[in-house]
Amino acid sequence: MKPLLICWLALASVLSAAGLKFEKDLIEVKAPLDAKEVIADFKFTNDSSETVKIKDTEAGCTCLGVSVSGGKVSYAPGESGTLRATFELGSFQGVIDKPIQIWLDGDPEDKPSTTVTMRVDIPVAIKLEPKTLKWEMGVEGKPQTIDVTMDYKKPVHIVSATANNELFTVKLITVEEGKHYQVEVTPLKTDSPSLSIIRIETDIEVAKQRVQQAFGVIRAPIPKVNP
Amino acid sequence: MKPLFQFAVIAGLSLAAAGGTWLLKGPPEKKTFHCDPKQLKQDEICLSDVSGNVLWIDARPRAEWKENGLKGSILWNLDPTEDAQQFEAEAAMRAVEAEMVVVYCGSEACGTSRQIADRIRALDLGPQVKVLHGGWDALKDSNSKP
Repeated sequence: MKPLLICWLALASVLSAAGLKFEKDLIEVKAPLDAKEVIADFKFTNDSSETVKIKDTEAGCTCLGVSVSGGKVSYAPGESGTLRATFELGSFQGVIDKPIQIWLDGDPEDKPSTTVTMRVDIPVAIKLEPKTLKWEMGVEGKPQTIDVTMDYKKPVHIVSATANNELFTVKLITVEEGKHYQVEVTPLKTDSPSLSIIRIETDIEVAKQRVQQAFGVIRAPIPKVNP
Repeated sequence: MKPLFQFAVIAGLSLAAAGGTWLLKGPPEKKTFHCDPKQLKQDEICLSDVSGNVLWIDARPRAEWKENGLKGSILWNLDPTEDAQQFEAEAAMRAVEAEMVVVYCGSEACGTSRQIADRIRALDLGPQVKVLHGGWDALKDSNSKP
């Protein structure tokens, strides 16, 4: 029975949790406003007693490229490496978390051993507050305003503010040239549900942030939904 | 040769037992996604609790949405090659007519649906905004797809 026992022990050791230990499972990157891509390096070490092989990585988005240093996938006990995540910013603004799943040899298909997260903070140069103006159907449509503030190294001017729905009128008010504006929106009538996109075009040099949008909504009271 | 013989005997017995179980009890049940209400995060909902006039938002890549996205769903993902403002505008136009907005992505581990749900919630359009617990795993295992 001794050889049988050895076989069983060998098999058990293969199935036991050999793994990679990451220095950080979350890396936050502040992206410059005009950056096209940002990079995060996740450093790891094989802290098990077995050689570990990276079978696959998945970022769930074409916006995130994942590569392992030198294309190396096999790591001996104690050996270290780096997993590099490259995030293409596109037209994103604000904070975005991108999880990266890492499968090692022996991991079930639906359960990777490790997940690390890249958090990208993309500055918002033109802030709209609120993004949505609301009127209740049948109630007088009084004017409401969207506050537009610029947070950029140079003055940013609003070139135009328009509504795509003729039931809404838009008036631009300058509070401080290049810094602070108000967009006043008024519905002409509120007798039926309606929505307008308020398009605010600026002269900021960062193309992806040049046009901003807000919404004007006339809607009936919403029935309560459980749960 | 004795250990090999013993190994063959054990393997043979195991195989016979497995075969017998298969014959008596049938094949193993297909692993399906189960939504436990106790495990729900505050912004999540079980598929079985989704009802009413719902706007479904698919947060997976466009190719997957095109292949098998829910009928009537709209796309909103975090792919930089997509037009984020167009997604936002379409979601706003459809959400104002809905009682509830439910966002799903590829799996339970995918965090995109929560980020999209946060963005829709920030628009403050009115309807409740939820993340489907289990994401696409819950939908594909369901016999009663919405």
